[in-house]
Amino acid sequence: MRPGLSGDWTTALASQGITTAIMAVFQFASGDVAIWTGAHPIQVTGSGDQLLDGVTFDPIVNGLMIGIGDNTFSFTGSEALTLTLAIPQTPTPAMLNSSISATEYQSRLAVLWRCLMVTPAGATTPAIWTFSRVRAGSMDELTIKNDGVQHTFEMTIEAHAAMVTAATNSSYLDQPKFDATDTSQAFAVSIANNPTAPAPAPVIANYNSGYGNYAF
Amino acid sequence: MTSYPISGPPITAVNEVIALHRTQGLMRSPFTGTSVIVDTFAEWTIQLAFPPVTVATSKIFNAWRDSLRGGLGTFLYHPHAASLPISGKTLSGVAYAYSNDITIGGWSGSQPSLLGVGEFLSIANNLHRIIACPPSATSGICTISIEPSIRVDIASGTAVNFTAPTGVFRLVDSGNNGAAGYATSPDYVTLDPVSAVTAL
Repeated sequence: MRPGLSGDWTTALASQGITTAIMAVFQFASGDVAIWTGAHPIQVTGSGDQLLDGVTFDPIVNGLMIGIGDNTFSFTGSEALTLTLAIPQTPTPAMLNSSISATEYQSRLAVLWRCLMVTPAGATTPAIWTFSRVRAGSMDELTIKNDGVQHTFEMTIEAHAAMVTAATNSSYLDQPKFDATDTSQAFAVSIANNPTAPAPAPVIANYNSGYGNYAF
Repeated sequence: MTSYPISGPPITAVNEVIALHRTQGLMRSPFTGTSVIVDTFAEWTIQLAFPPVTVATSKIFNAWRDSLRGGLGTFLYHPHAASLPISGKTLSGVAYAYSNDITIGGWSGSQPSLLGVGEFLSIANNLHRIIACPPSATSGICTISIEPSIRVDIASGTAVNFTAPTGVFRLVDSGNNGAAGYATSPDYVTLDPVSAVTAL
């Protein structure tokens, strides 16, 4: 099984007919915006993802997602992912603010999920979807286009490079965090500070052999 | 100020083509030939052809067509001969988005349902075709299958229209769609066909 694919996914794929969607959360300065490409507003519960649970994703109100760029990454780095929204008749506050100040979006978090309907809706039950994060990154470049035919809001989302965190300041003293039974560094600080306990090995005899001092 | 959706074409079409178009993608393995279909959405398309009309009637038609502002405006359309003598029926439970099955109540006991496959129904001006239905109700309720699937959750108790099922449509483009032109006889005007899709 490929990493990231759960049993739900493989079962749905095995049915040879799938319904998919892309979900996105943009953490603009003026507030979070949640969008998805499904047909109806959806409130996610029980996913265990704190950015998903309790959030209502709307397909239209916050802008219509009309283009999703390539989500490409490799061991040499990742390309920015471009999302294109059609600007509604009344632009959202986030869109208006973004067009004025880069602080509205720049280096703020955006997360994308791939969604798959794993249980179709029935006469008495709603559809059940599963969600899988496909990108978490920082909003970077904004392009607002109006070419007379389309009026769009294009946002690029940088992924891995933008998400590298500050230095961890980890040292050998963190060894037990990786291997709880490894206490090899337990006395490193004590030794460095020349403490009285544990006591240094007693010097039993001291011979001057001409090659230096030996302690036995 | 025009308030959309407006009513349907003021002339009865002589030819109506109504079809359900699905937007799908097919991912096929070049090794095994097996495929996975990505099913995205479905929409009704209609194409209407009109008989030659008098100049006076064509003016009314032109006003209707132009008031749609191309694809901006929407109009209601009731497919030809789509009518069942069933009234007073409502959803007996929530109709869930993406569901092809809905429950409708309003019959009494195991009364004959009068439903038929291939017939139309509409819920809140969303047009659907009945794919499977029971010949009679069960405890006053019929569970039926429809196409296309429900798009947005619809509350229980919402009326289901069988007598005049209606959908909301928009013109495909504003080109020659429904344009009027004079034929050989100056007394009659021919009208180009009108193409429209469901206004989703």
